[in-house]
Amino acid sequence: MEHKAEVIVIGAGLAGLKAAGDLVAQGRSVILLEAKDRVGGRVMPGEVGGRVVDFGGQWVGARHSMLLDEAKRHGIETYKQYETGKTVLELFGKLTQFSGNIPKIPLLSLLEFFLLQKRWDREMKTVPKDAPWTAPRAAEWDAVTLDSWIVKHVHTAAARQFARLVPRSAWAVEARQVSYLWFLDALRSSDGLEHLMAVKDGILDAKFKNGMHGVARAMAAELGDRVVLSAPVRKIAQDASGVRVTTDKGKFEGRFLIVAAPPGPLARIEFEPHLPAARDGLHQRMPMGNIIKINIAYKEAFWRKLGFTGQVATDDDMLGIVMDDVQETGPAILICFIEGRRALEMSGVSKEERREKTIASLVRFFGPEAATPIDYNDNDWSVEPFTHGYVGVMPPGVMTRYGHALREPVGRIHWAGTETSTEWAGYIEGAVRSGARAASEVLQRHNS
Amino acid sequence: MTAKVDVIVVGAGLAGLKAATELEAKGLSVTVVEARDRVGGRTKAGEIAGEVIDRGGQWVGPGQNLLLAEAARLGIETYAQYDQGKQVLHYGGSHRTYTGDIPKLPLLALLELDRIVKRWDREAASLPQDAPWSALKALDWDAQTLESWILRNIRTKGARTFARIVARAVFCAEPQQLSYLFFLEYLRSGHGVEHLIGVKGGAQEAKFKGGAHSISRRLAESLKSPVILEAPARAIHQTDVSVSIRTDKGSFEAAHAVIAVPPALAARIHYDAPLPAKRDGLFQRMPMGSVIKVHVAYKEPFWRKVGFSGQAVSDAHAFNVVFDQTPDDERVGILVGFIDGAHAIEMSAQGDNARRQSVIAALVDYFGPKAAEPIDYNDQDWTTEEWSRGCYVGHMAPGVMTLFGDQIREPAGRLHWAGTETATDWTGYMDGALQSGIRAAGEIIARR
Repeated sequence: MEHKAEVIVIGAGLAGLKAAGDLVAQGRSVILLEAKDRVGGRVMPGEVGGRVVDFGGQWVGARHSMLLDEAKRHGIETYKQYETGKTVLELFGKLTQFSGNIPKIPLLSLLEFFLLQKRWDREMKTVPKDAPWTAPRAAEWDAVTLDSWIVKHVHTAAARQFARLVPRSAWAVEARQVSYLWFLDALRSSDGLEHLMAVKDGILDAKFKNGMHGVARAMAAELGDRVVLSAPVRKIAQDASGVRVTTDKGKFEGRFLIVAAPPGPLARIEFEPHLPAARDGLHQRMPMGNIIKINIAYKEAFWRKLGFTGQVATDDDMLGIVMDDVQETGPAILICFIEGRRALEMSGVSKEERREKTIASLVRFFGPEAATPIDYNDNDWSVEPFTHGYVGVMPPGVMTRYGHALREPVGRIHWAGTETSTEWAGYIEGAVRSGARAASEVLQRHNS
Repeated sequence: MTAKVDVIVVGAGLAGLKAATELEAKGLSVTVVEARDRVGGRTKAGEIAGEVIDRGGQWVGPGQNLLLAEAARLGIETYAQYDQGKQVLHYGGSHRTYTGDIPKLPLLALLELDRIVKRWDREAASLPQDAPWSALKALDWDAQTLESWILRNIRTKGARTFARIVARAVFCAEPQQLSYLFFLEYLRSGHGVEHLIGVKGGAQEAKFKGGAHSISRRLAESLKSPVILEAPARAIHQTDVSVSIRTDKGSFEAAHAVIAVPPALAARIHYDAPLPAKRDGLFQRMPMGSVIKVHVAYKEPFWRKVGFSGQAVSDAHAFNVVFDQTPDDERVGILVGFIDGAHAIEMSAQGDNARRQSVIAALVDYFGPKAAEPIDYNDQDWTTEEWSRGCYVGHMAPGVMTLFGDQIREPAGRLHWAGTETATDWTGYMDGALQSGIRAAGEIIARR
């Protein structure tokens, strides 16, 4: 069976959905191919305690204008992230509670972390958003891991530990796994560390009623039968006249192609002719972070009554971040993340064991009431078919050698996906923006 | 159509062929499937000026006993790498010549180099042979790049340059891209720096008459059932009792499988059930080095007549490591060499003509104006070879060995892993490929 459209889009995550939607709005014929049996990509519905939840991407930041517009257009409302009360911080086995934004760590460490944040802000501003590899100090910063940089520049134990929490909680990787240049660019793309960690008016400002996946479903509904599910792409061939895509659901032909999938999983597709060395090299060099997202449901939000926000940041051997999620109806939920090294270890154990360990941690943070949840479920993104993890990251030596290939079209192939976004890379907003950019690239070629 | 055998081997490089040979010798029925239209993997036959050449793996050195024994068993003889006369060292903008193994560097640099090489050997020797990730200083060494280590521990410019050239020549990768722990492990498995980069008494001591690729060909010819070519494995499905592998030439079912391809290629197969997170993560994190192997033929080995060995090393030219490849009868003169690391990515994009011009210009610089008149030219761009996607070998960025490294030989259900990347001795070399094939076959035999 052969199918034809002007533009073929691969990947029905938010990037592919946005690209396809924009093209259709401009009167182009489009086919959107998706490997999974559902749309949304790293946005995924789940169910816990009888309530619909997000197993994947969930928060929308105050400055995530394109995503907010998209949701608004579909009449999907947001609700604010709860943050009244005390937040829990656990470092080196020591629990502290604090209100507001200033954690209770030793004064010297606090001062050092404050200075560190200033320095990162200063340095990230020297990284050009369209071409981080041309930053004045790109070669120097791309030669070292974030961990090496921390060891060299951060001296107090608590500030170091805190600094190492940043890549883990933001990108689900350990500091030793990423380039310092990549890290600065990722901070820049998130409007800086303060914004990245902030709830009110920050990246964790709000969530979507009935789930982020509602946005993906609404966008897909507009595309109707242009979306083809369960059609993993095996091969992409192109020549002067167009592209041919071989999937498990037959062959598809178009004049142009938008590939809206993370670089790592893309390495699985065969390209003809072979991709340029730099682009193929990039596919081999942007591994996905490791994360397990947990939704644990309680009859009521007992932590709120005890004066807690429900938020936790910890360096313990299990969880990384905990957040409150209570809607008007349904059970009260705590969302917990296992990230980086811990996600790898916990991926190897049973869900039951993860549940026990999660409960033990939560009891430590919030007291004995945490011991009796009414439901638990988690999603281990490392073993999610066709996704293979959280977000693509760059170890040292990748940005300066291969980074230029990230958005550069290869013949008739254009690249989307949150990793390719110059703003909010790694977030849903970045995905939406990348889809809009790729669609406009194709429209420009089409019209010229 | 599904054919049933005891074991399926994926990949007909030296590792897969050796595994199949061992399994057949124990009376097991084996099917070898290979993606290419030839056997040999990263060894490959070629021709220049009427002489047979190796477009891939080529050299053999003392201590590579498995490879030497295999060649002897198959009646393939070796001959010494030509090594008489002056070597050319192009360094810091100046052109020097020297004899023997010691380059002409400033005295201080030489002294430092001697100290550094001894330190590397000492640290490499401290790694546990089967588990470098459990070394005492594993975390520290794996948190930094080789480049970080160089900047912190090497002072003289000469020694720094030399260390970087070693990384490029051995891994075809930049020192920014390598974990220091992985670098040490590679030195350990390669019996030390001097052995790795040396000619006489080192890993470049000798070559195979008729080409190294003939070892694979002979191994394949002596198998009971012929290798199935042009049969890339697309999907692997395993149950409690069997493995089935879908290829472009049909599906095959067996009790066990040996996957004898580099991690970057094994990553491209669809696994059902999904692989464990750590194994999948490893596949995302062992990119191949980047290299173009070049042969240039002349009417005669003119460099020999003016006292050159034909060996050159440069920190300036893209074509930066050169050896003599002239046949015994000196019917023609041939030079062989490499464009590696970042240079390979750049030169791959520039196309055939620019590449050839750059190579000839380098040779004129090394050996004088006569180098400007070649009679034949041949290059092999391994970075765009679909079923290698780079050479010589997969390497590890920081954070990979300590987080994912323990998976490298760990069977996943009925799947056993081979390929030179999984070897504990001579990792990255043909000898390591043979060792891995023997080990994987042994694992299966022990299970039965």
